[in-house]
Amino acid sequence: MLMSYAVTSIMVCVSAAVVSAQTPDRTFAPTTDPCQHPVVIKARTEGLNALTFLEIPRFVYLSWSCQRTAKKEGRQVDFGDLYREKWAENYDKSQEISGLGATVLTVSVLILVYSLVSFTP
Amino acid sequence: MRLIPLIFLLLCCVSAQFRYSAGAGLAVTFPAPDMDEFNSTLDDSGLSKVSPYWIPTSFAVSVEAYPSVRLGYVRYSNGLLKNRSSQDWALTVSMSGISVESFLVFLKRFEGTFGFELMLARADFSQTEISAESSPFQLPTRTSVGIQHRSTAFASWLGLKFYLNSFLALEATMGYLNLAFKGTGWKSGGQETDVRGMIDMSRPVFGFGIVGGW
Repeated sequence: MLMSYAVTSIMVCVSAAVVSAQTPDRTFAPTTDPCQHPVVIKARTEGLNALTFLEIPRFVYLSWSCQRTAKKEGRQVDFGDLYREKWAENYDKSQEISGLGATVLTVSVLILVYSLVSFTP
Repeated sequence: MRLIPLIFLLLCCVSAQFRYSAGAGLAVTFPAPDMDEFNSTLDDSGLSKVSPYWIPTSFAVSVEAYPSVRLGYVRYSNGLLKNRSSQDWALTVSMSGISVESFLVFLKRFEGTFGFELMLARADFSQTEISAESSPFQLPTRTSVGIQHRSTAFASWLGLKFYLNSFLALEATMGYLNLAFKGTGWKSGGQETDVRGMIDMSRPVFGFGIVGGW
């Protein structure tokens, strides 16, 4: 019993040492500069449309924090170009209607017209 | 000359379409739903008639699931503007379900939307704030009692969205709602009641609201 207790203790200590020695994931590495946060870097390199749903509020907060930090340091940071790129990309995509979108449009308009024509108050 | 700022506002700068959006607004059916049979039942029971006008608040969230197609969840309820009768009785009609819409942009700031919604509807005619006492100990409490009816609703519509900026838009819609609560089927606590009264809400519906998104 004493031997099994000793072996278990040694295994726990070795596991703790191995886990703490691993290189921390860059995504969760603490950073004091919001402008260098991985989410902000991802937005600058891949565009705002590449952000996931959960990354969007983080980016909004980090961009505001980055602009505030930069203002204190006397430099200027502008994210307007990212937003303009996103708008332009979305607008270009939305100028054409997809096949499924055309189907939804046709079905809804047909049902609406039929309902209104057959409606008697 | 006076139109230049308006033209500039309409055609300039912002060209935003939401991938994720959430909106709230008001809707109204016109003409008013047919509640004559239901009101006749109320009259026979000694209660005053409820107003036939149904003005629900709406709430919707949607995501662009496919190019030009958004899927979402929508909820309508007149919980804020109930149709009241006498003795604290009030009629609330609410419905919630899925929405499918397609959209097409034009003139930079405008977006035409076309869609349909499939929803589950519930009519609730209840009396709230009834005083009661427990037995034993006669501890005071408040409760509610009423009758409920369920049905399915289908609506199709077309709308126009105007983007104020990259995060906010105004929306107006015009459509048709198919919904009727049959004369029988009013239940209380899951049990069928003797209450009879059809409510026919199949009418054109108009809505307007504000939408925020990314």
